[in-house]
Amino acid sequence: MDPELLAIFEAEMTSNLEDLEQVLLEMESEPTKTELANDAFRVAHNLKGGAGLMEMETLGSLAHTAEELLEDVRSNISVLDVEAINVLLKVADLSRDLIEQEESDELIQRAEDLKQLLRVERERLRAGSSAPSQAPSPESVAPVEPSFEATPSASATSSEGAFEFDASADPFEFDANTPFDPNAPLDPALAAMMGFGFEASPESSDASEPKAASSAPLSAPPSAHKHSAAPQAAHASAQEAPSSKVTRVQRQPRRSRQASAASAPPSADEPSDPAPVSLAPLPTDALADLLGPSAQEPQALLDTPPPHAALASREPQAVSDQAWAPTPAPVAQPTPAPVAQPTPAPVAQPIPPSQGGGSSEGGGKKPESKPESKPKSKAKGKKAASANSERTETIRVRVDLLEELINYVGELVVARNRLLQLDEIDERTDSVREENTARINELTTELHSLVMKTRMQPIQSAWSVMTRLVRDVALQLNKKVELTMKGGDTELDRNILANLQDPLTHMVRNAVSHGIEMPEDRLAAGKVEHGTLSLVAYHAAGQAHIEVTDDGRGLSRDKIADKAIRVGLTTPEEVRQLTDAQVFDFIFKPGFSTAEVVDSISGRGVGLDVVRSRIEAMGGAIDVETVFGRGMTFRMRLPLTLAIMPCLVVSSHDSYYCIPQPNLLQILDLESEEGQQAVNSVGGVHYYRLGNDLIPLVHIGHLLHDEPSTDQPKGYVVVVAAGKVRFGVIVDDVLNTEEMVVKPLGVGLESSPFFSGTTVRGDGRVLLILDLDGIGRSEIGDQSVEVEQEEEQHLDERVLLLCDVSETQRIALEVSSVITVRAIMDTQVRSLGSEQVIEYMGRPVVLRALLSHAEPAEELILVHTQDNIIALPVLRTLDVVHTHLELTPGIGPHWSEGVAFINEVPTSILNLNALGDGRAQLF
Amino acid sequence: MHAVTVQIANIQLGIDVQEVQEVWRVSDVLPVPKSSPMIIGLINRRGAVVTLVHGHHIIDVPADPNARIDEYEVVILEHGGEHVAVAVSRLVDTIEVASDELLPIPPTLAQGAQRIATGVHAGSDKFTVIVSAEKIFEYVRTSTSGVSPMEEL
Repeated sequence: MDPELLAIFEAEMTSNLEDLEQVLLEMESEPTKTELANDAFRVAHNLKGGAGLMEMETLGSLAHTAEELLEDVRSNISVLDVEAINVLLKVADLSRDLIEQEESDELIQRAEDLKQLLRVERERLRAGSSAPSQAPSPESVAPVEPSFEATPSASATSSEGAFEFDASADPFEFDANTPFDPNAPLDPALAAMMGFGFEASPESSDASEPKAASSAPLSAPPSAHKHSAAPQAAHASAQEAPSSKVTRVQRQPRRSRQASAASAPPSADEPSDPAPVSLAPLPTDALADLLGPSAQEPQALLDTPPPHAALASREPQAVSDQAWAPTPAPVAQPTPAPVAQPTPAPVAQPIPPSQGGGSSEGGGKKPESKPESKPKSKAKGKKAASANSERTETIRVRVDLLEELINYVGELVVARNRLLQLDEIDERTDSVREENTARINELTTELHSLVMKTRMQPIQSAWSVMTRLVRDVALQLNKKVELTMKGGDTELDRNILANLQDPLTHMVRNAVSHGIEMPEDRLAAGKVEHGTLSLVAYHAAGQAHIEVTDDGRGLSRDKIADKAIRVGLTTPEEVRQLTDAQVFDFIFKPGFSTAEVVDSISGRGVGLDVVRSRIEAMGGAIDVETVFGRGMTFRMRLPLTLAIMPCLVVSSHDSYYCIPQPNLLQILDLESEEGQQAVNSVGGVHYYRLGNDLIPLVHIGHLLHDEPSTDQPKGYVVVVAAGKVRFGVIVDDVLNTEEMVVKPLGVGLESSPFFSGTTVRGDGRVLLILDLDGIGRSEIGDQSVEVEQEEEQHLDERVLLLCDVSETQRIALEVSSVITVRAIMDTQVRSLGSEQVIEYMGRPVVLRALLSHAEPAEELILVHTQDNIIALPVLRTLDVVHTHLELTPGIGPHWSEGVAFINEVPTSILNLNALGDGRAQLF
Repeated sequence: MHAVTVQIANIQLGIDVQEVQEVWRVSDVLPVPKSSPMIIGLINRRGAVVTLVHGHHIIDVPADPNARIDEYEVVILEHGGEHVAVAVSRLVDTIEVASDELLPIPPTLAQGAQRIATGVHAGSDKFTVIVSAEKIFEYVRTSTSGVSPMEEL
């Protein structure tokens, strides 16, 4: 087998199967939408054709069996229900396996079983075909509904009155017993569209069709009261957007049928029956369509254009209801028209426009049919056209090709930069060359930004599988879940999307299986029976925000706490002091799963800890918000792209490094006298005192180039935020900011703790990008490592910030948790309900008073709690001490670990975990 | 196969031409602080950043500490879509090696060369140790993640 062909086939089929899934899921809510049935059929048929070409017998016969079932649906013989859709979804799954995997006995067996199941379903649906029609489509229902009840009998009667050839063409007639293919005429069209060879009996059925139509007129009178079937047929198919010109062929006979109905019923036997009445408009138009100017009931046309138009522009299926064709006029027309059309049309034009065109089939009828059916069909055509053009606008491009393209454009950018630099150096002014360079600059910039966009994909692509997932899981658990998605067009780098898929799947699955309750429980809880799961995405502040929200039971603090204690993540004592948010955060801890039962849906050993680590690995963040009994929301923030980053170029020890702009907070000059004085050394760690901020410093020359450590560092401090740590990086010089194309570290350097990537500058030189998270973690967040190396007695030394909360209450807190200290007079404190809030780096931070009574506060200490930032008002900050605590627990305020003497003053050691969480009150 | 032969110290090595992207001399290398001594630094190969490793370190033979980088030939190897540049003493030639001519690796071969060798080719005047890019990549990876064996030595 030609591997290239196979690859194309695989890609094609995989996408087809995705379509199939989507269509089937849609059909679940709109089972009578013939358009969907046609789509589903087309995919199955495509699959069959493809399998034949690829000589994949098992797949081919599976597809064939599925196709048969869908054929029934498409022909309105049966209507899919949930069970049948389940089976068809299994077909999609198995087909995928058959395409992707080596054919094995197991697969063949599965295919056999599934085929059997399909046949059973087919029979079952056929047997119950009367039932499904009770779920008609809303718009067409109104006028036609009454006729539905009549359907089964009507079809029976109609068959009685049928002509020989009609019979062969009437899907209703053969309802449960004959496996004939009612839609045969479509096959060649499809086959042609798909380019696959395919056994079809087009000619014969085509022929019979028109004949049926043409013969119909003769049978006109008897059918008067059987019409009830027609509306039904028409109605059932009313939703469909015919997918090929062939449908037009079929439509005609139908119209003739309707025409008969139109002419007959009003006057005829059943004035009491609403069906004929409601039908009137349809037939009229149909008539008009067929008969042209001479059409009998012009005003009927006007009466009810909408339903009619709907019918006229859609509805290919009901074709062969022989009972309906009484009008003499059609005789002439249908015959030539269909004959002429079926063959060429399908190939070229799959969509409704052809229907509008349908009116032109017979020259005579053209005029009237136009005003009537045109608006609708035109709109349709437009829609279809736009759908069409959308389809042609995208092509499949190999990812590696795209990556290569991006690389080359990246190189082009580098070369362009170099050119610009050369131009700057060169003093000769040559306007032509300058112009040229400017042009190249412009083009390169444009090209680069466009090419980078090719990496971006709407998040919808990651969401599309969720529909199926939610459905399957809900069905399996007998839950009712409605999935809503908002912001599907939000774009993300494809690498990020790819990495997001698993975490997202996990969260969605969790929400359905654990979050949303059983319908009866929901009702008992006073909620609507249907749970709602919503996916929301949007861009904000240069990041993509994604939310997964369910309105299920939410998290119970007690349950989480119990579980956390049981699995040893915390202790009962500790847990009492934790905020709700901190407790809920346990769900992201390894080894934690609230599901009591490990089931096939959620208990796969992968927990939310993996979700969090995946998200964080991409530079994102995730947290959870929940109200017990009301539901929960996972919020994710992700960078838009990983490929390009604005960077600050700095130098140290004659080497240049990049500091990613997103990390950058501030640049401080150490050369000034002020700067010199601001640096303090405490216990071997330098701190920069900026206002009242206390910022630990890392000397890059010392860290990377073994420069001797000095108490008076020179150069600049670049203040950065990395993870939850904020620190200053001492560098010799600060150069400029450039947009850098980020490239991975070379082979053998992946494990470096100091660098996260490389980039190539305009002059062709390679630069290293500092990994500030890594440096922060190793140099700041984990000072105990350094301490350990010194002497054993330092092991339990703690670095604490001393401050007075009041004249009589001194506290100490871990320096590592301190973000900054601010003078309260410089800070705008605002009210939010009963809370007081300040703004820090664009986010609101809640003030937490340590004392219940109001005390004058002059400074605010911003600290990290487990997952948030809060501000502690204090009277004054005093000093940073390195100390061995001789702590006496169990005394002091409730938010303290205990009390110790520091510098001979009794001091409460702050337990940050015991402080209220900012967020719970904020939102 | 065709093999590009290079010399590191006095050992002649052969690498399948399929695995050799190009051979050139570099002058501009960015040293990477706190990396394995095997790694000389990073080079810009037409916009792609490639790690340059010391061939001498790979096969455990002493290199001239005073040698400048532009005195070495740099062989760029490709494996699995990734690249590594290896600095070697000099480029020798290309030879034709039939796989049935390959001799087993003699136990006396320098230990460093053994770990990247797939066989030995006996030419008319000289032995060539045939090495594979895959093994070189593997060695560079394992010896730079965590504790470097080079440092242990």
